[in-house]
Amino acid sequence: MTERGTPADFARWVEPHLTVITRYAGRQVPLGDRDDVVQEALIRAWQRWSTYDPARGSAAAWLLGIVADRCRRHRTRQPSGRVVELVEHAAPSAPHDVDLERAIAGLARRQRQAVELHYFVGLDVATVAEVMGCAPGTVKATLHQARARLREVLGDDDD
Amino acid sequence: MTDLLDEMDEMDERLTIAARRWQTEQPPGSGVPLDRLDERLPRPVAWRALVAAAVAVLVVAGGAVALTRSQDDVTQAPTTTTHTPTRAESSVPSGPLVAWKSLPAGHPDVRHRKHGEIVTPFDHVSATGSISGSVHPGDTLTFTAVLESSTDLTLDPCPDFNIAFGRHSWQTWQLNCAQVPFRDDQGRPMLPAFQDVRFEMQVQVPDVGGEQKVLWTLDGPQSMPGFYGIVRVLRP
Repeated sequence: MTERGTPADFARWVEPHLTVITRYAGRQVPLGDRDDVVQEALIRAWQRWSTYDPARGSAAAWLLGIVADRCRRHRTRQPSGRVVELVEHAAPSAPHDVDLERAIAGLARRQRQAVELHYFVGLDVATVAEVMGCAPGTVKATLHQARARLREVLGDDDD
Repeated sequence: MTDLLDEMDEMDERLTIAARRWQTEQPPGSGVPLDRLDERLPRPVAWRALVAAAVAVLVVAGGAVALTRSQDDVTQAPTTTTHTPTRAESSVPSGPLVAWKSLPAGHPDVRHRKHGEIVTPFDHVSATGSISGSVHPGDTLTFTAVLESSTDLTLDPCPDFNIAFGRHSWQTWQLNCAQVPFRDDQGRPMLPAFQDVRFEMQVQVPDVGGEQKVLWTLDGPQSMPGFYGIVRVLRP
């Protein structure tokens, strides 16, 4: 129990945001580690729930900040040359846009972050701005620059 | 999502299609771990050694106060005392420690207006620390200020901070941003979201006596993140 409520209250509060949290973690860490990172983030969020101030930003932005931190910590915990666990997954029904994914990975950090949050996580520009700590106009400009860079990198493939 | 953007283009469409495909391929998440919510989370391995060293010297243990005697008598060995933090949450912090450096205040204008309200880049920053113990006039009081931002925050311009010692002393310095071990894309110092960064602080104890309130705040136009503690100044 915290000042804000019980674990069940917390679960109800978090539930509307689970999809974006899970998607974001899925973009930041290998799929096999995604749920561990999400669970760590939710534990951390529960333990800090009393510090959340809705006047300072949306719950989604607050939670995503915690997820980003846990993803970063997770990556630093991984030894270099780690053994990759083989996990069976059904083959995707449609081919991935591998070139696009590779080009996204090559974007500058802020551009990549904006693309991940807006397109893949599915956040609107205002929430992306909250997560990135900047103005919505800056997010729009960053997305514009990212798309321009992707067009440049992918060249004729985009035409 | 695209109607929120200024313009449509083929790359927007390609990203949207790729993102939707990726989203549909994601297995469902695992939900809220109700039975694990009070678990202690692992700390990054790299910090364990740092924390162990910090505990060993007790000086950087999140608000432990070390007192060194006046610099007037250079032959006198420094007197160092430590104090258990008085607040339950002041356990050993996990962030890196930025060394103290006496830098003149830069007085950056950090205000801007958003939806009719004055805001600063530091509105998503929390500052914590613990200040306590007994000191003498002329001592150097050292403590640690812990900054945490809920968003990635570039420290450009580098903010100033204030330390008020009772009603007798109010000083402003610039944070030692150059020593912050995190950098943004452009190489500027930053506070990553939810990453504690600890700043070593020093202030000279003025010639006063009795219990004094020592206040630490980031410098800004309005209510800024800060904390305070009470120290007892013992006159000889």
